[in-house]
Amino acid sequence: MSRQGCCLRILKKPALILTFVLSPLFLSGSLHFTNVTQKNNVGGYSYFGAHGICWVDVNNDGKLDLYIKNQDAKGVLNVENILYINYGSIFSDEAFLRGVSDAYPTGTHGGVFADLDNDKDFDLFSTTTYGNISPSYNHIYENDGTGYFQDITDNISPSQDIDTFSRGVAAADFDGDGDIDLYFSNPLSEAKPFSTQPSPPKQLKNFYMNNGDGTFTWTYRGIEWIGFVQGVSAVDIDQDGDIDIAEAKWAPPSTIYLNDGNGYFHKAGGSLGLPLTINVKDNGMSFADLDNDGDLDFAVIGGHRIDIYKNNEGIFQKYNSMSTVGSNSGFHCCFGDFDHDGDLDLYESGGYFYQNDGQGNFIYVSLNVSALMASLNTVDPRSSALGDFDGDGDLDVYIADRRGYNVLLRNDIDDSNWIQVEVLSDQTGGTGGIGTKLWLYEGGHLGESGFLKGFREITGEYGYLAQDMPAAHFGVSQSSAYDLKIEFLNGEQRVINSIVPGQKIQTAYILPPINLTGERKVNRALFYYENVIQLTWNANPDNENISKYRIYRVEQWRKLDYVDEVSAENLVYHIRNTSSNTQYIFAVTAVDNNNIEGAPAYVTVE
Amino acid sequence: MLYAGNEEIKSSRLSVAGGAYFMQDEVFKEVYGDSAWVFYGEYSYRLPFLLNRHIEIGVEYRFLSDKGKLTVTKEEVDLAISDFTLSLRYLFDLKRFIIFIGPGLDYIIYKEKYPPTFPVSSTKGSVLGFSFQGGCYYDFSSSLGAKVCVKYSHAQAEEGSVKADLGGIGIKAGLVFRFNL
Repeated sequence: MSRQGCCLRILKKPALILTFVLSPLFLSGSLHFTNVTQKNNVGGYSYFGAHGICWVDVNNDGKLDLYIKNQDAKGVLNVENILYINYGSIFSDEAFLRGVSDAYPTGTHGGVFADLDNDKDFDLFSTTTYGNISPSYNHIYENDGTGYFQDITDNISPSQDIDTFSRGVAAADFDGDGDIDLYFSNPLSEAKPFSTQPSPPKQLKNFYMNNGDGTFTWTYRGIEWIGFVQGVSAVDIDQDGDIDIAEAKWAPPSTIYLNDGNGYFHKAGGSLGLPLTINVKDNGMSFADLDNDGDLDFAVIGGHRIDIYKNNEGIFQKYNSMSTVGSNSGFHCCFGDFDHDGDLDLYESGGYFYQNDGQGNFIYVSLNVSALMASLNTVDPRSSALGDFDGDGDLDVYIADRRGYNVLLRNDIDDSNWIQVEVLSDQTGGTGGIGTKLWLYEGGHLGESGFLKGFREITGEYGYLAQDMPAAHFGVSQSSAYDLKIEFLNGEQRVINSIVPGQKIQTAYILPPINLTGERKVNRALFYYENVIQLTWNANPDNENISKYRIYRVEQWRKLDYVDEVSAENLVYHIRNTSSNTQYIFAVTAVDNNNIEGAPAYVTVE
Repeated sequence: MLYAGNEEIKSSRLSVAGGAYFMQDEVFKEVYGDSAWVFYGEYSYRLPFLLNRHIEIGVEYRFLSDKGKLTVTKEEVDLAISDFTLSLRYLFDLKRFIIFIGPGLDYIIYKEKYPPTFPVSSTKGSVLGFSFQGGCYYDFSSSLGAKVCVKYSHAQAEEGSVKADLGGIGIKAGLVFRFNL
């Protein structure tokens, strides 16, 4: 589309004209984004087809990569998904090379990265959307630690024998057994299950429960299919310590399924205050603490509107509603503190940014025209996801366009008024921290609700097929220090005090050992010797019930190759028979009495 | 059969002794400690035809066995050294005391065994060396006596790039049985 064409299209949007005219009258702040799509080479395929997005670091190099879930691309079959590897100054699509192009007819909607085997890298669960071409099965890919994947779909039992029209998915430890389970929507073989009327309930198998040994059991856990589902979100909605599921539906009302703690679900939308209106065509439900009161509120988008619900002691009450932009029915909205003022702002995918007034009320906020044009000129915007791809501490936005080029908006706010928290390993021993809750308080006031500065829960895919970066982002005042309370899904808590803004905090359920060093030594007998590397470390005083340490060699990037394990009393290990002129990298992790493995400490031996 | 004056001199001696060996190799000291116990057995014969019977030749077998620990990993290693010495000694007869001094040629066989975690299971080899010893016999009777001796050995073993100095000082004491063949 030519630039002139872009302008003409914008002028067709009355809401935007109104914005330009009235914006000085009610703006309380401003944002500045830059469209860096071309610069970073992340526009997607020329035949388009993007639906979903995941921001995730697949190769453990510390930089966020980008996975685009493509489907229905101008009739192109076997359309590949895109895996943009972030090389710092440019992205490169390596989906095929790395084994996750997932090119099956007729493409992918839902997909989520999660550490399915607790080996501290992100594996992939990717759906296939049935379109009258069989087989149309979902796929699971195991990451080898370097961002190369192997298809382990055959590990699902019983084997898939029906095509599925999967859309949104969810990943979390639903049954609390220490591994990530998978849920997918629309487990039925209908090419277009878009009826305007709810279906009689069908008890279809829609969970792949993780057996903890690399295999999955395909089963039904209480979520009936009663009509077409778009987006799926999985968070602890009722704050009872397990992960619940919310589904945005078309014919039946969008609803919430509460977890009984053992991974079995029952429908509870009506009792929680959700409307029972049918045929609204909701596309996504996004949960976040919009009023900084420590619980999850939500917005539901679709049917040309965004309805916002506040959580009032466990019951949701709608208190705000906005129209979506132009003819866009609205697929996804996401919440992030884009302006670092301490509350979560709202972005409608392919639409406007709205600033939070601190009470959960959203007001249009001005955006520099070029970035706004890039957002509004998306032809058929679907998902959008938030990630700090350039590592400058703020939230950037990637927008999927089903019928146009995707857009990457770089947030240009230049300050240190932010704190990011990354969960290196959680109560499962895996990375990502899905289900982990984080409360940020003003320094010295931990646990005092009046000083709560933000509450986040880390999740996988949410809203409409979006997965934000697997880290919590807080906007804060630079002049203060902050205390952080972390609660893992099993209820265990950690506290980090006196956090100074402008930094990324890394935490873990089991923290890495400290003071890890590696020293080359010669292990001598009288007539022979070997070069050894002596690893020494100290127990982390914040860990409890550590039973052993595991030692890994790191061959490439951060791929961990198991070497050995020693009892907790041993704080030294010798790597035997090493080469004196080779650089080595080693990692050491602590493992507790329940065999949960913590985050690694690394050491490079020159 | 030899005679010293009217007394019959039994020309053969068989001695058994024990003692300590202080190897000078620094790695040995680190792995096995400063010294190791050593056991000796020797047959010596006073030659009747040289220097008025003041020359003795001896064939000695020495056995050293010790357990040590690798320098870094502190795993146990075993060392065994067998040593055959052909020596030539000059004897000074002082009634019951007989002082001797002289050089020797050593043939040393060694074996060191390592733990399974080590790159090799064992090292075996042999090396020639020389030694010099001095000491004295004390005769309790015509058939039984005692012996004390200090022996300095020099031998350099080489296994690949590793050089081991097997030399050092050995101190031993034991019993001597005198007889004629």
